[in-house]
Amino acid sequence: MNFQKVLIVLEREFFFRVKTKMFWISTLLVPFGFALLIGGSIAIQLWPQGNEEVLAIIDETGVLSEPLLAEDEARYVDYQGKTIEEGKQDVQSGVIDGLLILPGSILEGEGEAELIYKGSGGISLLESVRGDVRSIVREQRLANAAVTDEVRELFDSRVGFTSTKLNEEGLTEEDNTLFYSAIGFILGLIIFVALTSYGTIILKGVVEEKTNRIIEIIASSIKPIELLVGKILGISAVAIVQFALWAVLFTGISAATTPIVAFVMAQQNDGSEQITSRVDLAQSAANGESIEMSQAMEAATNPTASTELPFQIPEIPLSLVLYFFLFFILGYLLYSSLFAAIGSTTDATSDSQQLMMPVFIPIFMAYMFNVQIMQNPSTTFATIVSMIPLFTPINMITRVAISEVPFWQIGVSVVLLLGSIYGVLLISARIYRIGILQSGGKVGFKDLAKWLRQSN
Amino acid sequence: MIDVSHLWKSFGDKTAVHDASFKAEPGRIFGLLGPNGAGKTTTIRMINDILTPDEGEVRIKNVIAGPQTQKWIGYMPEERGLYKKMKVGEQLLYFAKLKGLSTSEGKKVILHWLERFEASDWIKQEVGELSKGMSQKIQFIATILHDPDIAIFDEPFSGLDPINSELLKTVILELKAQGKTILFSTHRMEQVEQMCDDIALFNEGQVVLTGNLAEIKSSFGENTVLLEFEGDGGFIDSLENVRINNRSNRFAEIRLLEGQTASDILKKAIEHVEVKKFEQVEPSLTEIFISTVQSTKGMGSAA
Repeated sequence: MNFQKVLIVLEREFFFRVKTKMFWISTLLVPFGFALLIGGSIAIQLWPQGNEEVLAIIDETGVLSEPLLAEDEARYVDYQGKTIEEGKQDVQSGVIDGLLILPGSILEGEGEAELIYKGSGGISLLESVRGDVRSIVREQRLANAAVTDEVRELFDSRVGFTSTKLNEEGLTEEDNTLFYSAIGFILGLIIFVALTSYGTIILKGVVEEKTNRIIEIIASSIKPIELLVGKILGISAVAIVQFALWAVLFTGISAATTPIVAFVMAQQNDGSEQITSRVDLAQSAANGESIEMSQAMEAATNPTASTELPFQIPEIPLSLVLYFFLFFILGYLLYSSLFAAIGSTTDATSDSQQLMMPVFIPIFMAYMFNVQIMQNPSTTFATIVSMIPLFTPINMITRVAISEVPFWQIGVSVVLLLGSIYGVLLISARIYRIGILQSGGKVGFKDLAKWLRQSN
Repeated sequence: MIDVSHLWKSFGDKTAVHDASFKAEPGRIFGLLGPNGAGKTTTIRMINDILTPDEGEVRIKNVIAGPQTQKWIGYMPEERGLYKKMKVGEQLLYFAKLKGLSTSEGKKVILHWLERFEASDWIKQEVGELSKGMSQKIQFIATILHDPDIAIFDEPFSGLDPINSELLKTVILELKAQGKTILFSTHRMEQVEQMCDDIALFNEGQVVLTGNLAEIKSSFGENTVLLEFEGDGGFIDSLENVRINNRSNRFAEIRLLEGQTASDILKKAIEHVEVKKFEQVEPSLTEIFISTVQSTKGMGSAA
């Protein structure tokens, strides 16, 4: 193999793709889309919930309406003196959103509180009303039973639960299993998406050269293996650049937005009780946003202001990042030569669907295994699967992210993967070399077997 | 310059090239001719080291075909193509670099050729935006921009418009004048007669005849009659021991077979039609091809 020629091909494949508008659009849009997705889900979590519906209370006990009103002034209205019928009419006509009936027997633990409403508010309304009623009824019953303060404290206290991981140095560290499970699954998912999408790019490139009949001119200048290797390396360079840009952009975006998110969340925490009525909500909608923005700006520029997120993001170890790139590249090399071989056997992309299936199947299987591996990364199943070269790129990175994988397992999987890449590249090169010059006629698996034995 | 000796190539159970041998010399145009599927393209691919012969060898300047000899050859395949989304200039530079030119050398020759073909304005255009005729010109440039000593064209005139046909013919004759070795394949005999100095006739994977075109023709002798006439040419059908190759209602090319003479034909013609022109000539290439194929077949069946 002449590496100078490989380099010429690599250069073309790289610059040709990097110069396209599509490359820059996808490179720029993906991190913004990702940030938007994360920001959006945080925003939905933080958006003030409830407080919209007005509920009237008919309190037959005579003692519960007062604490309920105190619990949430904006929601509860006292309908003392009105009949249930009148209340229902008001619900019907929309004066109030619901009628909460508290029967006298409720304090004896027999009757049930009843909410009559038209269904607006959904589960979150029901949950919060149920919570309010329960705590107030319980308070009242405790008061009626004249229990001591100690007993009451027992009721109020919560049982703490925390888990601690023992690492190899024998030091304990905070357990972030949940976080790392998510990271592990996401990393596996990214490799899954990358293998299928960059694999398809390779395949399309090979098919293009074949259908446009460029291949014969190229074959009269360089060896097919040089073209194949140059192409695979060129597109892997594109992938690496794209991922690096994504990492930089995403880090940039999160660095820029973290103070804002932190500030908004802090506001939300002590501000949620201030926003108590519809009027207040409307006001804050009218001018609150601009105020928050300017405050956020201030927070962002003023280091003494609270710029820390109220929760801590566990650190992503550098070794995980390096493993990610290692398995990503090795997986790409393995699959791209398969995709190239398939591309060489077809005349049009549509023809290749049938032949592409066997390559897509292991990628999809690895993805499905991951659902289980994420929950339990140390089973024999997970260990075996992650060491099979076709599955390693996706399954091993997930295991590495979540658990402490013994180094020998990683070592063996990498060696097996390298061996398979070499073997697959040799086989693919044989198919490719004959396939690219073949024209017309459908190629089946029988032909492929024949090509493997045939000389050029 | 190009020395093909005893080449064999088969695909599966089909033998595409069957013991082919010929030589092409510098400063001359060599024509490979024969019907489609006769093994011309497979032979050309072996000369270009795109395919490897099963047996026999190709030597270019006495070097066995390989990466080194590829640099000396400019090749325009029958199935022509370019990257549609790539700009003309970048694309030509890519091909130049694959043939071993440096970036600066490549840029220089590309500018020269684009100017020569009045195509300098297209340098920044994508090939997909060009007309068919324009991209054919780019294809010629891609073939010869590295100034190869050998130029090989597979069916160069198929699909070309008349203007580009003439242009290509001029380029080929120029290359010949520069002392390059030119080899092209075609299934159209009249192109060979117009341009080639040497030929190899292919049939069913075999070279049935090869050598200097003029010598081949004269070796067949003046055994053909060209007849131009006015009147009813029906008598031609009744002639015996002849083969009629080219015929219209005012013209016939008559090959004299054994037992037939030119003067007999002239007598019969005068009886039936008004003779405008009567000429005894060397056979056409079509005639040579047909009689060669028939005689080799005869040999085959006799053996």
